[in-house]
Amino acid sequence: MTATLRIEDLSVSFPAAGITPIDGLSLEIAQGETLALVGESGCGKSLTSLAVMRLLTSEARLGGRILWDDGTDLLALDAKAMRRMRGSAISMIFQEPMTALNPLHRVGDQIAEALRLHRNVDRRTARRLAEDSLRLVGVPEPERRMRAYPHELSGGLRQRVMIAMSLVCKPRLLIADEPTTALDVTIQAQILDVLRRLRDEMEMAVLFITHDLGVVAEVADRVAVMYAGRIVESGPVAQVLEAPAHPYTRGLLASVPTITAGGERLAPIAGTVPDPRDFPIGCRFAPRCPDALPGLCDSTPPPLHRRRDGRLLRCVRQEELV
Amino acid sequence: MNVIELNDLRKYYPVGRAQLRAVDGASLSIASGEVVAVVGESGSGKSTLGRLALRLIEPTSGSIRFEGTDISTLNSRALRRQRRRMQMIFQDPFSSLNPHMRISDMLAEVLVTHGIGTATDRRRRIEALLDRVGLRPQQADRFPHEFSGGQRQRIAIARALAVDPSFIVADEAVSALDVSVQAQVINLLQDIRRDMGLAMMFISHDLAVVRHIADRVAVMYLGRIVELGPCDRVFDSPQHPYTDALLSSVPRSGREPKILQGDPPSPISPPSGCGFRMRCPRALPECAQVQPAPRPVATGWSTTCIRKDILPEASS
Repeated sequence: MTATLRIEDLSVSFPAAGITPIDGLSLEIAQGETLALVGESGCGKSLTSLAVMRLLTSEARLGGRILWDDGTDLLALDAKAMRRMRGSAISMIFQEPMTALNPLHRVGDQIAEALRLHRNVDRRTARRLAEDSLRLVGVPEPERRMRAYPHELSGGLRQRVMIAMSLVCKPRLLIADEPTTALDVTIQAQILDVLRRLRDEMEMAVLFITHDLGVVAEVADRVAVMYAGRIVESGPVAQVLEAPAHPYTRGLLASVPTITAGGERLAPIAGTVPDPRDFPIGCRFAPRCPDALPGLCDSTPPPLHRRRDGRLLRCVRQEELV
Repeated sequence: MNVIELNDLRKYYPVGRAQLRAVDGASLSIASGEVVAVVGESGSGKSTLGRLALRLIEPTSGSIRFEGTDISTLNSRALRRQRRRMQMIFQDPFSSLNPHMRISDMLAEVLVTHGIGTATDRRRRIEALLDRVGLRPQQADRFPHEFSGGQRQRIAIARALAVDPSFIVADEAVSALDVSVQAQVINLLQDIRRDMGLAMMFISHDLAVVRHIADRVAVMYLGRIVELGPCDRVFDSPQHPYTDALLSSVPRSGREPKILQGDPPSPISPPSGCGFRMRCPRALPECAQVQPAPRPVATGWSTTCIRKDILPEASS
């Protein structure tokens, strides 16, 4: 199985600020697969997606390789070549559709523009494909909605328009950065359903960024848990969510209230996420970790290790903790 | 004893010639030591209901009784005296704290405004408050930007508790926090409820958090409470098709989600009869005719759905 996208040892640093919010990040996503990247705010999950899209500001220094399935390193592409990839082979949907859509243009024209930029089609064909795309994501009365402005649509419809726009060129990789976080739960269920269906129909690779473990359980095949700029655990969703091995993953799961049980006290992780200016020297989770061994965990950064059960784990106590 | 009683509250806003019915006849009471959650999607009227309960906005009709006094008709001076006993915690601890004030000054201002304690007394009270919400007294002279999101929400909670209230409205108070921090603040709210015996209206869109924290839950749709009952029982066997749909929309593993189609209708032109009937998979022609009133399902549990034959019976 070849990966559509393979990230090897990616690092993102901002030399002016003296911080390296992401380092040593490796992951891969196969065709038709959804990988969820989870973590709390500031862990670097959105930075990772912006690095793949090469949308970071010029102050950012990128290291490592981001390999496309034909062997191209996205980090080595010039601006023009990268622009051809973006919106075409790789596309992205964001949390807040209102800020990602242009308020001054009708949604149909915005979707058709994406096609005209990347595919050699005439205006009429572009409009027809744009309308098909709206139908595909379940927008009712697509011919009428083509003429709507973003403000005339509800939050759920706007997010569908964004998805339609990102899929109209049939990308091989879709990056979805918290696509349902701003939506109500009934609308979230509709959008997750659309994304699942389209992934299967279009055989896309999907990088799904979220902080919501319930959403992970519902959409992802594999999950990578990030903490302070590094992946600490990754594996198949069922394995990681049902038997988390890293103390951070376990802490995260224990602190989430579940809808099926009430009453009992939650077990929060003590303390807060470290600032990139002040990352701990050893394991970055060690200061908050209930299982940390003094003298070991706080002195050397643990490597990402493949466990006997196949999952990747960044913890020196990896074989003892299950 | 009920601390707060809301009776047939309505709040209409004029929109051109039409009216937007933000809250359309809601009745709810909360006893001391009790947490009642108000859930619903955006636009359901849950935040408006919270603001009405404190009379931060004027009701179009209906009454608000707080500790036995009808506060919906009080003049502003009498209202201010009552307000001391009612407080609010907002969603965003970044915009609800004054960035130019030290935490100690912010808390002292609340005490001064309500004429509580002497200067030395106040300092002691402030330290006790910070300790209560899990902050160190040494942090009292810092500014809001020196704190993380979770700490700021603790400060907002300290400020609400400063006047020793008997009723608190928490509007999405943990929604902006990361999960590990959210759990800390949920635990704090539970401790406060246990130790101080206050009544709390917990407004949230997060059903898992609600299940965790609330004794009873009120489900709102289009400005009305469509189901009201004990949290565990409503979550286990919802008696309104909307509650059922809302609960089954929550993502979780190991089950096929039921998907509710469409968007909620506009509160400017709500459908006749039951507000949910346009999206309801079980609607009957009768649902369009009369606006259904709450009917009891069991003690302390009511639904506005007229159909008794569709959801598993709640055993009482």
